[in-house]
Amino acid sequence: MLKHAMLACVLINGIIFAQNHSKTLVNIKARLIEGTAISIIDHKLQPEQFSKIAYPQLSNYNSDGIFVHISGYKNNVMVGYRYFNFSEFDSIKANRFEQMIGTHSTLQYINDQGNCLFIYEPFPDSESMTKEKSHNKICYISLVYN
Amino acid sequence: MKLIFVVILCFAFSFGAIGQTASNTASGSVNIILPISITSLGGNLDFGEILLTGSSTVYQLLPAQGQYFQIMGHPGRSVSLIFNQVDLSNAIWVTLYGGTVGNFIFTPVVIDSQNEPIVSGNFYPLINNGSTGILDVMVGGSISVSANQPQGDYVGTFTISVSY
Repeated sequence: MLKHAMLACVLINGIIFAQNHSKTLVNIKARLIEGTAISIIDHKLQPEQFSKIAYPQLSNYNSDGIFVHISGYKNNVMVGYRYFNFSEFDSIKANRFEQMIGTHSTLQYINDQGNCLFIYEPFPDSESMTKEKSHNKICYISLVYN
Repeated sequence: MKLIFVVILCFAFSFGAIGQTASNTASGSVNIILPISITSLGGNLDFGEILLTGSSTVYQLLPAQGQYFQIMGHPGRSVSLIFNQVDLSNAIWVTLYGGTVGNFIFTPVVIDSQNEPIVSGNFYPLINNGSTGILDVMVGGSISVSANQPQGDYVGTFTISVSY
């Protein structure tokens, strides 16, 4: 009787899946940072393309660079950029103002009175950083929230 | 492993019974399929730091810059992949630092090693690689940040499952 049951078991289960299911998990992260804590009080580069804005957004600058005068804090600064509707995630985080950041940007600290001059120069130096793309970038400058 | 043991047990009982009963015969066949598994090969689904601009924006993480997985199983078999959108929230961050709780949706984009799209619920063959079948997939996706999205660290868990 037992043998019959076992044979039936084998026949019915013509294919035996040792393990027919598996899954895995991965965390998704995104840090959203308020960018309105900074005011841009001066800038230099084709001024007709820019207007003074209360929030740190500059658009359609060319690859000659941006000169931005920012006041109101002494803290880490992050410069990020995106083009079209897609961000580039190699955003730049400067731990010190006097720091060469990346291969296509320079960030300079002028004084310690709370006023800083940032020179952001996107040098197109790779295939993914073409001059055409840099023309279409939007630059954001913001405090880094630690 | 447990099922393999059951199969062995079946045959053991059969052989044991031969000595007791000589009049019954039967024939059968069984295909044992290699277990399926999905493991992470590296990468991440980290969108990094995003500066809020006051306008709604879609941020994209390309699959090639995202998370890599390898599915292993029986060569030649097809497997179904299941994955869904994920709701990301900054609730934990708000608990620690204060502020407003917000949410947004992560929409996954999954492709294979040939850059062909993988659709959740569809079946895809495991590519023969010796005695094993393999399917490599990459996961990226997009998030849509609204104009008035609260700041904070948004987290969520992406789950991908495979089955024969």
